[in-house]
Amino acid sequence: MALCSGAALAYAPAMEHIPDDCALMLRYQDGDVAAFETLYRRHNDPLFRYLLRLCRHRDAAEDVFQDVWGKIIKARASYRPTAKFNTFLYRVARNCFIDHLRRNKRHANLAELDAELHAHPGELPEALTEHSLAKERLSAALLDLPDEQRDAFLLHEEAGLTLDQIAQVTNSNRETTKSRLRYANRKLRAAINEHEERR
Amino acid sequence: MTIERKNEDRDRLVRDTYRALANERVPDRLNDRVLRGAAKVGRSRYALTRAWTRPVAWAATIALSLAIVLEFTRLPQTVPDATSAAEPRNDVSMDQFAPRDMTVLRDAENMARVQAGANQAPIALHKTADTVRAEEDSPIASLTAVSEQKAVEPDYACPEEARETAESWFACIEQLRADGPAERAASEYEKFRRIFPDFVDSAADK
Repeated sequence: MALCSGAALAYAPAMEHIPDDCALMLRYQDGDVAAFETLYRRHNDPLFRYLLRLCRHRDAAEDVFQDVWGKIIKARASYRPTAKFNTFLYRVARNCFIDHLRRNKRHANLAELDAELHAHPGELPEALTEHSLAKERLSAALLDLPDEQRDAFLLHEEAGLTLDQIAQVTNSNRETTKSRLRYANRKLRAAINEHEERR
Repeated sequence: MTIERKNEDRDRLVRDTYRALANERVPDRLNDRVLRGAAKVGRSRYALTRAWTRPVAWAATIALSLAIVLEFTRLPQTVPDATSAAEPRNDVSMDQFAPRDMTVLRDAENMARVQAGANQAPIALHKTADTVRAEEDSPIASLTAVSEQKAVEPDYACPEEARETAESWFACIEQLRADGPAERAASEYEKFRRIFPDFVDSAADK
């Protein structure tokens, strides 16, 4: 388990080093709201994209996103820097997503997301470049992936987690995570190259 | 090119394509909502309490440490030196129930010896011991004279071990009377009587 390295520097005066996530969280624990804002700006977009692709619906992703940060804020009093903040954040995010799934069955409604994420307003299919087509295919393939494989892929790409950290977040072991990630990459690769291979 | 290398290149292609695809950002209104909530909670009473608890704890720890250090540095000053060891003589003389045993005086002598150094005679304490004896038994003038004399010439005919109890000291004097010069025995007996004025020789009684 990767421990927070910068916890001891939490109270050191800000010099040239970039404060560690855990240090920022500890400062927020002591009432430093600016520290929380720095922490939030660091993680907000990747987390939102992760949730967007898990939830497959923008409104749902926004709800879960808000829920996740609400829980992080609420947990600040009991927060201990025992693991990397990223791992903690995405674990909370994943749990919130699972709670969201239990609460409503929006997850099954894929058409809405597909339409939303694939929309290219004002752009005709003929005008799409090869790169745009690759993106389209990747996006579609990502949505077609099994949940576990997509989860592993997104945690790797968006959160930048290692295999061990993904295993920790998803409650699985390293080998399972490794094979999930391998399968996900293989399928996405195949989807991108589909067009070329057909030619 | 090996298959592994080819796969790595393709993984990079997947990653790059995904990076180009994933450019969604959190709406500003959502950012504002979360940050406002964090600020509201962050400035709560708990957070403010935590903010001053830590400095206070540090200050208390430092103050306590300083107090302990000061206490330890003051301790050696409370150990009595040679002159202050002589001061309790008034208490001794005033105390009617003070033990008349020589061990008390010997302890004082030892302490003075430690204070003054191993090779130096505890003059001040000899004086003290003799003064104590003199104050108990004799008029003040003769007392002072005797004590000064003893301080200058602290000679006893009997060894220290023999002077520990009245019986052994008296036995030593008896021995002196039998073996040594009579003046020396008389002098020793005089000293003995100053310390033990109430001593009754059981043999003589018989």
